[in-house]
Amino acid sequence: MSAPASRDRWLAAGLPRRYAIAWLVLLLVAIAVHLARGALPALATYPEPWFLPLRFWVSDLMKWLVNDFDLGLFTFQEMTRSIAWLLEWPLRAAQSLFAEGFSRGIGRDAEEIVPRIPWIALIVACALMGLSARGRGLAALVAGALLYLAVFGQWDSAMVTLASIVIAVPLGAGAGLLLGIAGFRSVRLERVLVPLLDLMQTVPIFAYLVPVLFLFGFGPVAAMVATIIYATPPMVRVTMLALRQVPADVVEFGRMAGCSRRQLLWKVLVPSARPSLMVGINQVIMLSLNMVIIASMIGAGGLGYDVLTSLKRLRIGDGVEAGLAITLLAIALDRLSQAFANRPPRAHRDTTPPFFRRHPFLIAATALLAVSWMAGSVLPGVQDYPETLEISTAQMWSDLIKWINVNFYDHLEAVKTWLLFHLLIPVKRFLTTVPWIAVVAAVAIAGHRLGGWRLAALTGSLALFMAVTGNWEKSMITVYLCGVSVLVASLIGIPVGIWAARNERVHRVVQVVIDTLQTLPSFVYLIPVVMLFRVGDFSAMIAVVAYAVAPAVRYTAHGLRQVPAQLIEAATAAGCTRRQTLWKVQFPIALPEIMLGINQTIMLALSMLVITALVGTRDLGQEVYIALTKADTGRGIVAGLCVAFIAIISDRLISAWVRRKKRELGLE
Amino acid sequence: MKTCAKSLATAVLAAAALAVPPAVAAVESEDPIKLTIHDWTGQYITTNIMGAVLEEMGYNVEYVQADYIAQFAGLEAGDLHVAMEMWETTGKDAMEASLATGKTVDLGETGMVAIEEWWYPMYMKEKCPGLPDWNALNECAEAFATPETHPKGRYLGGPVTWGGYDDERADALGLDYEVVHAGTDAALFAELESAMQREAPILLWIYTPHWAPIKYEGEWVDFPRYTDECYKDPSWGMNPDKAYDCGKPRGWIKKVGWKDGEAKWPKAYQAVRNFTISNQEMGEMVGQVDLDGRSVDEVVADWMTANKDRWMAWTM
Amino acid sequence: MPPRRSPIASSLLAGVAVLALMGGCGEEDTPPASAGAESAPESPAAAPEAGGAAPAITLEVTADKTHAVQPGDEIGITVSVEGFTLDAAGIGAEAEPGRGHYHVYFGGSEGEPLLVSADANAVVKVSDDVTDGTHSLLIQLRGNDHSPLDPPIETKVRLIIYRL
Repeated sequence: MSAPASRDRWLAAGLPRRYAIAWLVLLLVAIAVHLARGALPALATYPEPWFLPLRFWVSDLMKWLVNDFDLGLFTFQEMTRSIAWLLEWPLRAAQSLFAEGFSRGIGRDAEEIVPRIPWIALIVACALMGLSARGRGLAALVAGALLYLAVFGQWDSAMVTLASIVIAVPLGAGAGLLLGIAGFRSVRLERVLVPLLDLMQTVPIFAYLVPVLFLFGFGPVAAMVATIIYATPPMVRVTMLALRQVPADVVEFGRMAGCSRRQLLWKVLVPSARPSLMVGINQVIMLSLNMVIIASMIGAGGLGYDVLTSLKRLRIGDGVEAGLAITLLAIALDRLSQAFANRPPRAHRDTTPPFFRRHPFLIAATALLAVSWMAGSVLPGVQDYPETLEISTAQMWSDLIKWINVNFYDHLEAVKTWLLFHLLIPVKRFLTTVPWIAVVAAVAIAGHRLGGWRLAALTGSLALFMAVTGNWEKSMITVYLCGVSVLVASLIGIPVGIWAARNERVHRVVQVVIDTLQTLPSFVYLIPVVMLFRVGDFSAMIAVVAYAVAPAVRYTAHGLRQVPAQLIEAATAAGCTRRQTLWKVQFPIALPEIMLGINQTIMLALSMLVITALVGTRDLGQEVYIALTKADTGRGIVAGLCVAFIAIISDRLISAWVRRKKRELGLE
Repeated sequence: MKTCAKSLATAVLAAAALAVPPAVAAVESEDPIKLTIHDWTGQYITTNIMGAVLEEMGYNVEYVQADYIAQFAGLEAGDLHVAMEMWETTGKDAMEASLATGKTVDLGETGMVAIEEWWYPMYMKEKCPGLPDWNALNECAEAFATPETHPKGRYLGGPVTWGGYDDERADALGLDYEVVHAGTDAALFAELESAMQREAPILLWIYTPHWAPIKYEGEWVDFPRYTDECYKDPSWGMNPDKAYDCGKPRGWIKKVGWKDGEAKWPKAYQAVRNFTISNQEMGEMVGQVDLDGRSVDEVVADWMTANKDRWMAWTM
Repeated sequence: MPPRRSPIASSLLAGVAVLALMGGCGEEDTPPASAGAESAPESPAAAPEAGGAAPAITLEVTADKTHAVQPGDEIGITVSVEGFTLDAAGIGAEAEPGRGHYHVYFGGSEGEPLLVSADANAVVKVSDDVTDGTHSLLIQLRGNDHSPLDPPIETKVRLIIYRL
C-alpha cells in the first residue's frame, strides 16, 4: 500500500499548482477566442453545417419502432398496445371502485349495478388504517385530509386521481423491486441500469410523453405508464442499496440455516431491508403525485385536470383549492405509508388468537364498508357528499392575488428590475457569449481534477454533445436559469437550514412549509407569479426557487445535526462560543452533506424546466415542450438528453468533490 | 371493451331500457366514437354539443383528452376519431400534413370565424390617441415599454407553437417593439388580468371566440388587411423587401376525422359534417361558462333544447 | 395492563352514529337554483331616494347580436325596467320622478346618443366607421327632460366587432 500512497502524496503536492496553470491557460485561450470571434467563428459558436442531425435519426427510429418493428409473431406496437389493454383492466376496476361505480353496458344504456365506495366509508376506513398504523394523530390527519376533499367539492376528481395512484404505485414499486433485485444479483446488469436510471430521472417527462402516446394509445393508461416510468427509478436504486446494506451476519445466518437462494432473498434479505424499501415506496408515491398535472395533459383527468383548466380560465381560487387537494392527498398517503413502514413488529405469542382478534381494524373497516354501501343506496347523503354543504374559499384566493397585484406591483417590479439588471442579465450574457470550446474544456478540466481521466472524458463528451446537436445556446440559457435559481435557493435555504438545525420548533414549522412547497403543483403558483412579475426569466426563476429551496434546507439541517456530538463537545471544551462552533466545526464537517443538498437542488431545478417553459423561457425546456406539441419525437428526446446531461455532469462533479472532501475530513 | 358479452348485454338492456326517441335509427356500430377534447372552453362546448347529438342518434360517445397538435397521431392511427376544432390560424400546417397522409379526412367548416390580432385595452387610447391605426404604435412605443424592453415597446404574443409570424411582422413593418412569447395561453391571460386590474399598459395577442374580449373592453390594432400574397410575396405591401407586412388572416375553424371511421359510422360522420355553429352562439356560451360560472353540461343542455329542429336536421 | 377496548365495537358504533347523522342531513340533489337574469350584465340597483319610499330601480338589457358585429349592423335590444316607467310620450317633457326613457351610447356617455327611445324593444344601428375591437353599448336611464338620474342607472352590453 505504501507505493501508491506515496505517489498520491507526491501528486497531491504538485497538484494545485498544475491545475492553477491549467485554469490560467484556459482563461487566456477563452479570451483570445472571444476577441478573435470574427477570424475563428467556429471556436466561438458551433457552426451549423457541423450539426449532427440526431433529432431526425431519433424521429426516424421512433417511426420505425412504432410502425414497422416486427418481432416475428407481432409488431412492437401490437405488443405495447396489448400491454396497455392489460393495464386497462385494473385501472378501470379501481376507477369503478372509487370514482364511477360498477355499471353494465356502455354509453347511454349503461346501468349502475354497484355504486362507488361511499365517501363516509372511505374516510372512516382510512382513519382506521391510520389508527392501526400509528395512532390517533395519524388517523386525525388522514380523516382531515379526506374530509377537505369532500367539503370543498374535490371528491370526484380526487377519486379519479386516487384510482390511478392506487394502481400505478404497486405496479411501479413492484417493478422497481424486481429490477432492483435483478440489479443486486448481477453486477453487469447494475452497470447498465445505473446510467439508465439517471436518464429516466433527469430526462424531462415531456420528452418521452410523445413516444408513450404513440405506443400505448391516448388515454388514462398512457398517462399511468408515463407516471410509472417517472416514479420507478428511486425504488430501483433504493432496493439495490438496501439489499446491499443488509448486515453480513444476517445473510450468514440465513445461509447457515440452510436457505435456498430464493428463500434467502424473500425470507431474509427483503424483510430485513423493509424500512429502506418503504422509503422507496414513499418516494414512488410522492413522485406519482408530482406527475398528476402532466399526466392530466395526456388524459388522466382528475385533480390535475382541474388545476389546469381552472388556471387556464384564470380562476385562481379554484386552481389553488384543487392544488391543495393534491398536496393533502400526497401528505396523507406519505404519512400513512411511512407509518406502515415503521410499525413495530408484532409481539410473538404462544397461542395464535382467532383471526378476528388479530385483525380488528380490518374487520371493522370491512363491516363498515358493507353497512355504508347498503345505507348509501337508501340515504343519498351517505353515498355522495351533499352538494349544498360544500364550501369554497376560491373567491378569497382570487381577491388576495388581486389585492397584492394592485397594491404591491410597483414595489415588486422595482425588486425584479434590480435583480434582472444586476444578476440575471449579466450572467445570461456571459454564458451565451463565452466560446463553447472554452466551456467544454473547463468542464473536462474540472472532471480531471476531481476524478481523473474517466470523469474528464465523461463530462467533456456530454458537454460536447450539446454543441454537436445544435442545442448549445439553449443549453447555456438552461445552465444560466438553473444556476441563478440554485444560487438564490441556496442563499435562502442554507440560512434557514442553519436556523432549523438549532431550533426544534422552527424545524417542525419549516418541515411543514417545505413539504407543502414540494407537493403543491407548481402550476398553481406559476400563474399568480406571472400575474405579479410578467412572462420572462424572472417568473421562471421564482417558480424554480420555490420548488428547489426544499432540499437546500433539508440537507443543511440534516447535515448540521449529523455532526458527531463528541466533536461539538470537544469544541465546547476547547472554549469555542456557539457561533465559533457553528462556523468552524459544524459547518465544515457538514459541508459534504450540504453539497449533496445543493446537488439535489440542481436536480430539482432542472426538473422544473419544462414547467417553466409554460411561462415562456427560451431554453431546453421550451424545446421539449414545442416538440411535444408538434409530436416531434426526435427533437424532444435530443433536447431531453441535453437536460439529462447537464444534470449528470453537475451530479458527477459534485459527488466526486464530496467524496474527496469526506476522505480529507476522515468521515469515510 | 369490445367483447361479445358486452354487446349482448347492451342490446338486451337497450331493448328493455328507457324509451328511445323514434327518430333514432339503428346504429352501424356499437363501438364508441372518440371525440377529442382540449383545454379551452369553446372547443369543450363544441365537442359536447356534437357528442350530445351523436348520443341522441343512438351512438356511443367517448371524450378523450388530447393535445391540440399531438392528436393528429391518434387520428391517423384510429385511436381518436373526430376533432371538432382545428383553427386555420394555428393548426393549418399540422392539418395539411395530416391530410396528406391519407389517413384523415377534412369534415368541413364549423361556421365559426377565428379572429386574432394585436389588442390593447381601451384606456390606452388616452395615452396614445393615434390608435387603432398601426402607424401610431411607433409613436407610443414608450407607453407600451417595460424596464426590460425600454425604449422599445413590448408586445406579448402567443406561444411559439401558435405561429402567427409576429416577429416577422414587427420586423417588416419597422415596429419599435420587442415580441415576447408567452409559454401557454394561461400565462398570456394571466398578464392580461394583472394589467387590467392595475389599468397598466399592455399590448398582446387576443382572439375570439374566447372569454377575454367579452370580459374586457379594448380594440384590435388596425394593420393593413391580410392577403395571401402578403405572406408569400415580399414585394407586396408597404415594405418592398419583406413579407408579413400586414395583419393576421381571418381563419376558418374546421373539423377533422379518422378516415376509416366514415365507413364504420357513416351517418355519424354525415352529422358531423352538417354541424354548424355561429360566433354569436359560441361567444354567448363561452361567456356563460367562463365568466358567469355555469357548468358546460347546463349550457349544452340549454342549447340542445333551444335548437332541437336544427340539430335534428343534421341527423337526417 | 388495562384491558383494551375492542376497536371493532367502538369503530362500528362511531360508524353507525355518523351514518345516522348523515342519513338525516343528506338530501336529494336539489335542482340548481334557477339562474336569475339572462345574459345581460347586472346593473347597479338604485338606493332608495333619501326620505322617500321609492322602490329600487333595476335595468336589464339583452341584445340579439353581440359577436361578429359588422360596421353598419342593426342590433335589436330588449329593455326591461323595474321601479321606473318608460314613457314614450314624455320624451322632452318636464321631469317627473319615476318616469322617463333611455339613451343608448356607443362607448362612453359623452357625445350624441345612438338612440333615444322608451320602447321595450328597439333597434340600434352600429355606425359604419367603428374600429375592430371589444366595445360596449351603454344604456342609461334618463328623466323626461333628458337629465340623468341621481344616482345614474345604466348598464353595458359588450359588443365584439370585427370586419370580416
